[in-house]
Amino acid sequence: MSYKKGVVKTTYIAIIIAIIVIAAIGGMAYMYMKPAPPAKESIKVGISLSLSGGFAAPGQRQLWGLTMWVEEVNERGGIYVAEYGKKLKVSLIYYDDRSDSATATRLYERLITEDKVDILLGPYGSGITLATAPIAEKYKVVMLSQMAAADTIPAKGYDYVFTLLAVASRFGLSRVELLDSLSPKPKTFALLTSNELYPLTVARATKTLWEKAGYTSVFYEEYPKGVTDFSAILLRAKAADPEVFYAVCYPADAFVIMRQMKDIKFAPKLIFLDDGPNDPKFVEVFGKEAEGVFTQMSWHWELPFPGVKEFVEKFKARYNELPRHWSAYPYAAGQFIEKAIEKAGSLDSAKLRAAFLELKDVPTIVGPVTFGDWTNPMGEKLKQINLGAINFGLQIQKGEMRVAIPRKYSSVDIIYPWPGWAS
Amino acid sequence: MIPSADTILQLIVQALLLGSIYVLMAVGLNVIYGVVKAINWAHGAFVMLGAYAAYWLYELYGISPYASAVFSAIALAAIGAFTHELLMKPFFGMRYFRAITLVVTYGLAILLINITRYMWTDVLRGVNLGVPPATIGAISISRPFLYGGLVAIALSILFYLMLKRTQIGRAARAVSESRKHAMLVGINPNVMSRFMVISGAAMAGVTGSLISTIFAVTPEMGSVLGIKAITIVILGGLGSYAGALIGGLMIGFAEASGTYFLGARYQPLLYFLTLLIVLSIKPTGIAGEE
Repeated sequence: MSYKKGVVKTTYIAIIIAIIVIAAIGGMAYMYMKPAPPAKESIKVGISLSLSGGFAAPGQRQLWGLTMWVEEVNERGGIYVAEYGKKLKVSLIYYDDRSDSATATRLYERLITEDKVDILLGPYGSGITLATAPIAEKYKVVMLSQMAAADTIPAKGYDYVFTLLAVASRFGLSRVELLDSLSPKPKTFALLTSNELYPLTVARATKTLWEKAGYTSVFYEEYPKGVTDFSAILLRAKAADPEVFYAVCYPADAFVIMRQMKDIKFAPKLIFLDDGPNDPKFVEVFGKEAEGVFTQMSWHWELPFPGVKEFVEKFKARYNELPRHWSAYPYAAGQFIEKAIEKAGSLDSAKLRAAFLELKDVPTIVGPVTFGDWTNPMGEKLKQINLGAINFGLQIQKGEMRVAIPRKYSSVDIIYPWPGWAS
Repeated sequence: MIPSADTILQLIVQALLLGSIYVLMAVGLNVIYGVVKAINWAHGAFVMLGAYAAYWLYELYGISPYASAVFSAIALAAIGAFTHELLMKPFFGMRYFRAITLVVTYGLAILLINITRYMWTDVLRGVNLGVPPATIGAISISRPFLYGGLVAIALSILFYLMLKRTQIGRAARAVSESRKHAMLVGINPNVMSRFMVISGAAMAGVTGSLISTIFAVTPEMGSVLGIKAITIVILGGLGSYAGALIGGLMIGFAEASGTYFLGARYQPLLYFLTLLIVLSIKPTGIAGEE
């Protein structure tokens, strides 16, 4: 009995050893016999775009900007990658997220795991970017975000996410320059802001910086969503008698604010409305009254950066409209990626990330790009944002939006004080 | 900061004008409630459609919103008829009629707002008549606001008189009191309820036309104004005309003075606080009877 048992045991051990040996030999043989990975044929750039749904209009323009870059770079033969010893063409892989964060999250997962893209571009808007950035971080794939201005994203401190667009808190920098460049310098300001996250960040950063620069706040108000009538708010702002009136608002609000300011004859020396006057419709509706009003844009077609002129002409001929930041920033993201891949000489994520951080003042159509860390006026630490990113202050002059701030990129004189309401 | 007498006067005028626009909106809602006994949640969306109609007619053909208010009224009357036939009438006599109508019209509101958003997007739209403000002494009043307020008050009074003095008005009030007894004296309650829903919707169309000259026109205004109208009607007392008047003016004052003295961020708080206080003292609303 015990003899037989011993035989069985030995047989088992022998079989197990045999299996291990065979598996090891087989595995080694497989390792040696396995064909070399196919030579890299293209650089895969992946993005989820909002081609339908609420963000379809800017999303489509984002694709236009990207398409122009991809075509141009491929016409030049592609990007030289030292690791492969040759130029590789760029192939853009994109899907429609229907302006939905949950869909976009799945799409980025798919771009990384199934399409095996080499580098990612960020989607449209802060909301979707905030939802998808963790995916890039999880798989350690570099994501260059170009359409998200929320401070909350770089404040998360992700290693693989880079923010190209000027974050909301940086808008304050150009607001300070605006007041500093006026003569005579104003002393007091009134600030009205929507209490939603993005306007609030812009307003708080501006207020902090203005006060630090010695301007006095005589009126500060945050208004909630759903306010349709601004007359009572404006009456109080008027009673405070500010020299500068700045509203961080949405276009529909700017429309009502402008009209009701006139109704109560509130005429400060400077009017700055964040969103509204930057829509050509505003000038059309208000005509002469819009003259001298300030607004902002993340990019402008008359900026003196290299390549802007060519880009604008080509864009206009092709899409029959003036390009906006929705198209310029994705194009600039492409320009930066090109330099980063050349510098890294590899498509490896860690090496790409290092190249992103090493590059300084890369010329693009949105200005020189340098990534680095920055502490915003509210004291939050932001990681890997574009230190060259500017939010441009514009003034409506002769019915056109002209770049006024920064002064070094402006070709016009600032109209100050504001001429007041035409009687 | 103590405001000057002029500022206070200006604020009162502003509150009155804002209030009268709200009164018209609330009267429209009450007209429907009076006979159908259901809240039309889509009233704000109707106002929004009226505003878009005024905007497009002004933008494309240069027609003044005061003239095109007639068109807005007709267009919204058609939508009102549709709402009555398809979304209200099938549920008449059902046990949970009120709740069903509330939910169904809520759905209609979402549908209309989103169709508008899909067709015309969220971009900036509005009618700027570019008229200088009217100046009376030290106060300065927006002319579109002034005209809007006056038209709103006139229309509300006219409708009230119609209900009190005309045969149709009497019939409507009869149906409002009891459908069964109205039928006994030869009134067709379905005809009356159709008429009142159409009238209420047409009033929403006019409100929209007036608002297009005062505020911005966006799809979002449909839900914002809808909630305001319902708040006013509940505050004043469902189905009560005096209630709509008092409620509308009260919310107008609460909004203007609250915003001035406390700050805009307390606006929503103030609405609901007013509503809470009034309803805890008189659960049927200021002028409501049950």
